[in-house]
Amino acid sequence: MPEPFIKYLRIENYKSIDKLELHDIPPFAIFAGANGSGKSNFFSALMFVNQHLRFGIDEAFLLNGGASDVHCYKRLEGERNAFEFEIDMLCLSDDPQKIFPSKTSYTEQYKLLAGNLDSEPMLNEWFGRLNDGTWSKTRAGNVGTFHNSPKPDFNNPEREEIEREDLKFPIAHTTTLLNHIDSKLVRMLRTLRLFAIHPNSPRIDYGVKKYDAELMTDGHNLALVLARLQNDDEIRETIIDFMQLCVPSLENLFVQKQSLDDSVHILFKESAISKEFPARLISDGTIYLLSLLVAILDVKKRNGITMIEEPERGLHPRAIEELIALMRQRATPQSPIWLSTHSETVVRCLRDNELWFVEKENGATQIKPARSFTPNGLTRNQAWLANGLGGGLPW
Amino acid sequence: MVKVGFVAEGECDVFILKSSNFRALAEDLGVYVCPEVINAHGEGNLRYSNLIDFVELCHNQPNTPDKIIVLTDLDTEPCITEVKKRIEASGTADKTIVARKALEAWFLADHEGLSRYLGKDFSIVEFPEQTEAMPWDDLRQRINGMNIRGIGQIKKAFAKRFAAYFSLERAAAHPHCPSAAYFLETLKSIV
Repeated sequence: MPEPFIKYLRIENYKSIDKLELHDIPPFAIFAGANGSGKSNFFSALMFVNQHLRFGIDEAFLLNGGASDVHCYKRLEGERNAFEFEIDMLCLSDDPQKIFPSKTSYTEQYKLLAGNLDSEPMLNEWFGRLNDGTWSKTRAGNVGTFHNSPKPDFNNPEREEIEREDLKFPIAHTTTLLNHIDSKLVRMLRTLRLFAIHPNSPRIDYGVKKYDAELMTDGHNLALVLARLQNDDEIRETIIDFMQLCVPSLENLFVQKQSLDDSVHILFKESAISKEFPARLISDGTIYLLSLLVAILDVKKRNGITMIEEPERGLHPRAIEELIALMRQRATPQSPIWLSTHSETVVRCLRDNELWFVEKENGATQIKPARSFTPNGLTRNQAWLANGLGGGLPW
Repeated sequence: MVKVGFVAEGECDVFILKSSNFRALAEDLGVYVCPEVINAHGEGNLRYSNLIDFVELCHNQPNTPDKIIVLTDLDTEPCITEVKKRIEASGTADKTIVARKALEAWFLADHEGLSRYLGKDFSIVEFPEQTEAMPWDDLRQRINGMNIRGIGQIKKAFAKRFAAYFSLERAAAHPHCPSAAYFLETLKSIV
């Protein structure tokens, strides 16, 4: 049974989400539901928080189309002025910081309130660590303000709460109270990644000077990331193994740099054909599968949740099964993997506590865990579509 | 030549049964391996009533088999006889082969095939069917301990590659791999 690592998650006033509360989400979780139920909005809300932590709240609103596109459209005017987020994460004490040396685990909490969305946005944030039922090492701040402590000493267990003097900052320049906090929860939120890969995007050949640190949301820099991963024996081997297993005609794949313009190309070698194929001549499913593998495997520098929209698109059922097995194997509290899906094959491969249903209730998105599956004669997907698991259906 | 159809536990078995090595061995013994190896895909699929359906699928292939063999793993089930009894009680298959623990135990028994595949001497495993870990995990540990690459993380991908090197005869000749020996004997006696 997977160990939950997100103990509690609350999102309020984000697109189709009015108020959403989830408990005990495991590192490998799959969100299934009818079209338009709000699966993408759920992932997008998490990315909104990620963008706030990386670029500031102003930029996060801009990247999401402005406050008018962010708020819950179901709410009445006057009730839609604040975006709220709260998360409690279980952390294992394997950290050199030795936050609580006598504990094997502890909980970190972050709360965000972005208010006054229709006029001058205001921020209120809270960060804390829970130990034996009491909060210690807390941080809180209000309304476009920032603390003036040179560097907060969050690791000093003597201090229940750190005193601070608020300073006014223009909201546009305000980042987050978490800037100086080194914590597992902060690292997780900062390194969240969302993938909604389009098979045509990774076919682009890129110049070597472009961004290769991580795969982008639509996968367009796949060639560059693959070029970087060529030096990682384990990842390269796993990618080739997996591709050869699921694409029987594939013999090899590699990345080549053109000397003329420094552009980078992915080339595919098929058995019985002497010349290599460029990415533009390769099937959508093959390119898509390769992109997903890179998204799953290239996680060494981060520990945020890898969120993937509908990984099953264009893949053979056997390839989907293998992909789910690989994702389950790779998903840990250090690098969780969450998926959205419509696929029966994906659901069939799942185990107890991995499946969650996304549904609209009174026009607003709600998410709940699927019931555990018991009958021996039915597969999980059959039980799901027979409405035996407690939801996730259009009717 | 007796036409034999196979119902297998999963992909790893399928790769072995469809390999040219295995087909050549079978032909030498007077057995024609029917091309459509039925993959029951593990997860207990051979434990329930749908075994009958898988055997029926096997019967229904264009080149109708004269006999059918079910090849399955013991996995974590404690009793080899119970697994055989359950499958044979269905009355659908002519023979049941239970690869003790898992098929990969046969890989461990073929140290010569592994040495050829790895290009480096793979030590003889004294009791391949009695490894503490599951055979695949044991095999990975041993190969990783040799500080060479070549096994990877994906069991099926390895089985697909290794099928070209594996010899059932060598595994059956191992003094402590009775399930491989039983499988070979079954092939010999089914003619």
